Formats: sequence, C-alpha cells, structure tokens
Amino acid sequence: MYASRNGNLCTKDCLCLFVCPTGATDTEDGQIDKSRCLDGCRLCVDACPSHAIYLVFEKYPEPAPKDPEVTTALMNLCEAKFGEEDTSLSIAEYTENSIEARIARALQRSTRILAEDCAREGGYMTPDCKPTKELLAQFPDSQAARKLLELLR
Amino acid sequence: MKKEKTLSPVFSNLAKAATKQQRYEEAGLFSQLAEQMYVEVPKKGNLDSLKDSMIKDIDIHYPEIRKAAQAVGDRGALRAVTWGEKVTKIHKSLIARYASKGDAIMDGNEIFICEACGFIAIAPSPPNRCPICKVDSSRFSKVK
Ligand code: SF4
Ligand code: SF4
Repeated sequence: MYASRNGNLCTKDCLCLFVCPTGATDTEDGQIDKSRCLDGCRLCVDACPSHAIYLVFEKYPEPAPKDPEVTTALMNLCEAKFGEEDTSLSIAEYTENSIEARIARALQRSTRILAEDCAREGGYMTPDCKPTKELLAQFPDSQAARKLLELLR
Repeated sequence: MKKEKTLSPVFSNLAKAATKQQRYEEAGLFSQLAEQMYVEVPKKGNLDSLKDSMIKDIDIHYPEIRKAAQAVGDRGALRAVTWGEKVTKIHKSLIARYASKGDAIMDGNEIFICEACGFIAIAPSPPNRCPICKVDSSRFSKVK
C-alpha cells in the first residue's frame, strides 16, 4: 500500500511534511514518492487537514464481473460516442468558422469523457482488472500492450 | 472481440485510472495505446449529423443501458446513464441553439467543460458547481 496526493485538494507545505517518517511526502513534483512510502503507514493521511491524501493498494482484488448485457449496451454506446467524437473532430478541422470549430472541439472533448465513462462502467475500470488484461492480450504486436501486461502481472 | 475503433476511449480512461494510482509508466503506455487506436476516418461531418446520432443515443442507447442496469441493480452503470444522458441532451440543445442564433451565442462568453462528467457551459466564467455531477469549479477547463 502507498499514499497518493490529490494536488487539487492540497493546500501545500503543511502537516504531511512533518509527520512522514521517511520524507516521502516532500518532493519537488508535488506527488508522494511511493518508493519511500512505508507500506501506507497513513500518518500523513490522518494528519492532512484537507483530506488530500489517500491510500492505494499495489494489487487490487478482482472486481465483481459485469453483467454481459450491461457491458454490451455500454460498449454499443461507447462506439456511438466515439463516432460522434470523430465527427466533431472533422468539423473542427474543416470548418472555416472559428466559433463553430471551438464548439466542435468542446463537443469532442465532452464526448470523449462520456465514452470513457461507458468503458469504465463496461468493466474496464482499473488497469489491472481481468477485462483490461484480456483486452491487452489481443494486441500481441503492440509493444505498449506487451509492456503493460508485464507491468500489471 | 471488441471492435478496434471503440478502444481509444477504453485506453484513455485506463490512463486516467493509472494516474490516480500513481502508476505513471502504465498511464503513459495506456495513453500511447489510446493514440494508436485512434484511426481517424477522413470524412466531413456536420453538426446536423452529429445531432442525429445524439438523438439515437437518447432514444435507443441510454434506455437500453438503463434497462439492463436496472435488471441487475448495477448502480455504477445507472450513474453513468444519468450523467451521460443529461450531458448528451445539453450537446443536442447546444447544436440547436447554435443553428438558430449562430455565432452570437458566444458574445461575451467562453466555453467551459467539466472534466468529471463532460458538462459544457457557455458563460463568462465556469459555474461554482457542476449542475450535473456537482464538482466545484476547479474541475472545469476552458476550451480554446
Ligand atoms: S503513508 Fe506514511 S510513509 Fe507513506 S507517505 Fe504517508 S506518512 Fe510517509
Ligand atoms: S497535509 Fe495535506 S494539505 Fe498539507 S501539504 Fe500535505 S497533502 Fe497538502
């Protein structure tokens, strides 16, 4: 287990720096150095006045499998949303009107968020869950996919 | 076997999840995959065809997910439907508003987007709270 900091909530330069026994919380990039974290001793978590620090497991238990019908329905929508994203992108690229292009870019980014939500609820919730690994295994030619399978083992 | 073109959002979502777990190497690799899967279809779409697709989402896809999710009590999926359906309706009305009012809808306004749920606000400044998912204004970013 290790501690992780939500930079948006952190008010900077306070308690965690003084309670951490290893100095893991004091880093130049604002994130906690997980390699120095003592298996999530949680002193920083309890001390933080802003609830900005949370603990993360190295390995998560497998989440309950998703109902196949829910997954299918969500992934159908994910595909439709991806089509909309693509259309938005092409509008942004081809239109000569800068306002229309801006609206199209907003639609593209927003639609991506909706598609990602479908993917998450469709069972691809965490990096190391079974559906993710099975998906990665379908791309034996991709170096990134092979490396990920190695890291997530 | 999943259709490849749906996979870019799957991988970009996993990149976000990996970042939250401080797994930066994994996050980078998932982002790479998300880019690689983005096979751009060279076509000229327009806002009307986009709106038609959104109407289909609202009439067919969201009710389908809701039905399946209710049958098994999948509250996470129901949450995604609740937010996504509202945001899609906002997309649709934005396109309609732009069709009738044109560039004037931007007078004195900026476009802000909620990074948590996708809500789009056209206003001089971001809302204090997202009306859909209730996060505060710090999760909004400006679209340029
Ligand atoms: S959990 Fe303990 S060791 Fe880890 S960063 Fe926090 S205080 Fe330091
Ligand atoms: S205690 Fe919390 S708010 Fe203070 S510096 Fe640490 S993480 Fe930030």
